Amino acid sequence: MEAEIRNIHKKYARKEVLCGASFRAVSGSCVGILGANGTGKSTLLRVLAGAARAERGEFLWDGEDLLKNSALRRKTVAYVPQGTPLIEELSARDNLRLWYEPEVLERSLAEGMLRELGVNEFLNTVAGRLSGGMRKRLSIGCAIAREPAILLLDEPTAALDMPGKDRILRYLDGFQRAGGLVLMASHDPWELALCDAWQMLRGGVLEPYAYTGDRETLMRDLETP
Amino acid sequence: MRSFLVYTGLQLKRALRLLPGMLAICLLLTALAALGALLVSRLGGDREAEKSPVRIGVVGELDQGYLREGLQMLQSMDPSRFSLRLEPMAEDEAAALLRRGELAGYVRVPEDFVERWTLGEHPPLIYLSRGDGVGARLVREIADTAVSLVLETENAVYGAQNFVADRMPGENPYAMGDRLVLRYALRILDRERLYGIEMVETPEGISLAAQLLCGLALLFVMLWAICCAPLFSRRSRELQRVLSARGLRGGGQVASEFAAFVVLLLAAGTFVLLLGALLARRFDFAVPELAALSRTARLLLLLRALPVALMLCALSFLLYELAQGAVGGVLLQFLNALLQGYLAGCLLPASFFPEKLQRFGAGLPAGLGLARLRALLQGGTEPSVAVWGLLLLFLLLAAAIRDRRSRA
Amino acid sequence: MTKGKCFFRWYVLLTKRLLRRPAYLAVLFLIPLFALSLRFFSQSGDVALSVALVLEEPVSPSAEAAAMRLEERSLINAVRMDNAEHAREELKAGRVEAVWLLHSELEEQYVRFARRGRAKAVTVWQREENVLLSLAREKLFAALYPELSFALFEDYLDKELKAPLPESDELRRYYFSGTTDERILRFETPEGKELDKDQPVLTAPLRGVLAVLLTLCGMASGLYCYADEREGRFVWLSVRARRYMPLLSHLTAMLPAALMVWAALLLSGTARNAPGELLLLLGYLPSAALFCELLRCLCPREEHYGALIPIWIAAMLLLCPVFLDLRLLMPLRELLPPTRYLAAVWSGAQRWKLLWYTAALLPPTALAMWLRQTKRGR
Repeated sequence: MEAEIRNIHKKYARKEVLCGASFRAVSGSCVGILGANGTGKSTLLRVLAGAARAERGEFLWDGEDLLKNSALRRKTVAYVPQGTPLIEELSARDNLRLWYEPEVLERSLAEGMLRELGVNEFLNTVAGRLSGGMRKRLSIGCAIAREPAILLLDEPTAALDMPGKDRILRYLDGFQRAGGLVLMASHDPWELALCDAWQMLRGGVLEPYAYTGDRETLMRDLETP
Repeated sequence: MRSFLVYTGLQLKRALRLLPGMLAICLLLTALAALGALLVSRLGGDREAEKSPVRIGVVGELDQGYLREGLQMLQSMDPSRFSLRLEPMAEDEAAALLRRGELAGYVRVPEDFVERWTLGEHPPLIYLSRGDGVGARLVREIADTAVSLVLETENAVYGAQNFVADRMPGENPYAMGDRLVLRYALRILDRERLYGIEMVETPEGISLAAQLLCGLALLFVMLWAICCAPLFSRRSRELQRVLSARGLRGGGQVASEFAAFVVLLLAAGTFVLLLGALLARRFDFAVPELAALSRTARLLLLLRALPVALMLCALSFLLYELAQGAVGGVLLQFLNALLQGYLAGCLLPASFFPEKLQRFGAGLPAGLGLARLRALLQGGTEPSVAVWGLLLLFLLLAAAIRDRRSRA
Repeated sequence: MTKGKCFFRWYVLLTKRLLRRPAYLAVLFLIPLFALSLRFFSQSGDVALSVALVLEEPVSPSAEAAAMRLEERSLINAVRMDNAEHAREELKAGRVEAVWLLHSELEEQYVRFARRGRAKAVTVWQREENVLLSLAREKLFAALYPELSFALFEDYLDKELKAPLPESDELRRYYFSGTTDERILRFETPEGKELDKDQPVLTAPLRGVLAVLLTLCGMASGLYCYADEREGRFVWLSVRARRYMPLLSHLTAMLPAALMVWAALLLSGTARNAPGELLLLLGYLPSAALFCELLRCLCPREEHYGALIPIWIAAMLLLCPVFLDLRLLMPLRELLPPTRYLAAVWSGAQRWKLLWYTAALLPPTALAMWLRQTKRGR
């Protein structure tokens, strides 16, 4: 199945952040979205997730515009923002209970995606006391409650240690291999290395980018207006 | 030392950014306080013009005995000589006035009331009112006594008529009765002449107006502290830890933040006092104890009263430190204002409460603050050890909690 | 799974969040404790005014009778003292508001008053004149009145009618023929419910105060809503569900508090009818929640909203009939939720008004919520 992001425009006050961002991706792939700070990567993901409204544009999935069909979008797309939108006072299990039906939760913990994420290790710990990596894993776990086909991630392993990064990237790799589509805003070489294709966001538009893994080249390209 | 000064400067900058909004809030709070002060002037007024009587309606069949004449006679008398007025009216009118609050209540006189009384039946009069407050209850008590006066008088008149009928044949008992009613009405009107009223100069005790004003002022400070929730309730523990590691421990941090709190208090307080003075002049509201002082003396009084405000702010600061979040902070501040305001006698004079509660309330910080303000209004000049002691205690506790949390 | 079960699950978890906050738990715990303590203190009796009562020697029977009437349980607490000097000291110390010195030979004073309209039956010492002391003197007059009235009666027959007076007992028989010791006045509400004359003054404002506190719980939970929006906690909900989350937040904060308020009303003895009180409180919650959410939607920033909270509290405490019914700024007062709740306590018609008020809040609140979400870009 193919995802097509077409001509997304988004303004904040009078400033146009996205000026016709467009690209295509197929399921089973991982696309990295690069750009300097403030270029609109997070905004793009928020628009695609339905957390912000675009002035115009389409997000087509198998011919359906997910920006217009919110019910389908919620089933198809999972969004993991940069922060960890958890309720600090509740345990990990309680945070999951907000998003999962009870039977589905138990099944996923026993043999499903939550088990893969390793959420079982800290189910009864209060979210406010979890480490950064655990919080991120829990956030992903909450986001994928509806078994989405598309995962939107905003710098998923930022501020995590290496084992934490590794765990999450392994999960994303598995998700992708199982046929899911991953769209990831990132600066991190490890995250970018996971991707099959990259798009550079500059001046509000997306251009295909060939990421070679070379840090200096990347830095130069990010700084180019 | 440098960290302390830098951190204090930053806190002041943060606080001053909040100042314009804070002043707007103070404007609204002062307007509300002015409304409250209007109440003070109504309760505490000692001028004839301010003693507006409490109105009680009388409905029902009044053409019985001397009820109507008696009431109309009372109504036609000089109203300024009555604290309570019984006014005949129709029940619809009474119900409407009661709903609008223009009547404290009304008495419903049953049909054939007088006749049934003379036959020994004693049907009750119904007094209709609403509300449970002090005012409503006091008026109910007074209404009870007023009705008993009217009935006692009625009783005397019938006694006189029976006497005349039995012992003075040839005389018209009803004419006799009419004249007796008039006599009673005149004497009831003159009842203040039964007393020799003397005002006593007291070294202790302040006017009711001054008491309620002190209470409002303290309540204002406690409620105002809620405005500071954005500044003091959301704090980054990481920042506190870093500061602690850099040598600026809990005490220094608390001192810096409290300094910002004090600056805001001074700015808001100055604004409110100026506004309050303007409103007081506009509405011709005066507290006798303040009216007797020169401008310099009033300024000195304010300076001496400042530690009380600082003490309550220190308590609010401590509560913010305990609550650790905006929601908890706001709720605790409100509870603090309410509990202390009510129990210490800021909302209603403490003399309304039982002695046990008065003693308890006097021991609360707001109670100590009120006592201090009373002492100042009576001319006291020595500093209050209790107020300063509590101020320091609250700040020390806040510092200790901060230290503990920074190291946890 | 049904939407209802899902809603219930969310409700339980959001309540759990709040119950993990020590400050919120403290508030819940303090509500009934406050009510109980008021009830405890009110058992010693409550007074609006303390007055020292001195009977000058030799004490006349009229003075004794008046003193006994004044010492009956009342908001005006008359405390008998041995001598005038002691009473004056108490007045100066501020422990009493006035001194009433009933002179000896009171009967003669009454006769003098009956004839000339002036006498010195009672010397009154006070620090100031105010409406409370003025009302208290009405009570004093009522205590003096039975004997005074008899003196007026006797004087009238003697001096005005010039009637030959019989023996004192015979004359009293004429005077007292119609009297009774029964209570003449019965207290009721306009709806016909009998009022408990002895409702303690201390607990009288409790209901209003707790109604304001409930609204405050809703406002405080509004601060949580800002934080939730900022952190994107409900980003995985649908747009519509996200729009209504704040209302659910307000209700989760207010419902446990409402149960505690109900307990407080029962413990304090203020509650009239337990199930009725609970229903009324539950009926109050939606209007208060809508009111809080409307205010929140009108404040784009959390700082503004937080800063306005004390204004609203002060306005409610002053304008709503919590302590005193001042009847100021009527249009604003009628729009405040505690006013509607307190009115509904007393009247069936007002309960309907509370429902209408809730319904009237729905459109502007829904519009404000929609506008806020649109302005935020979703």
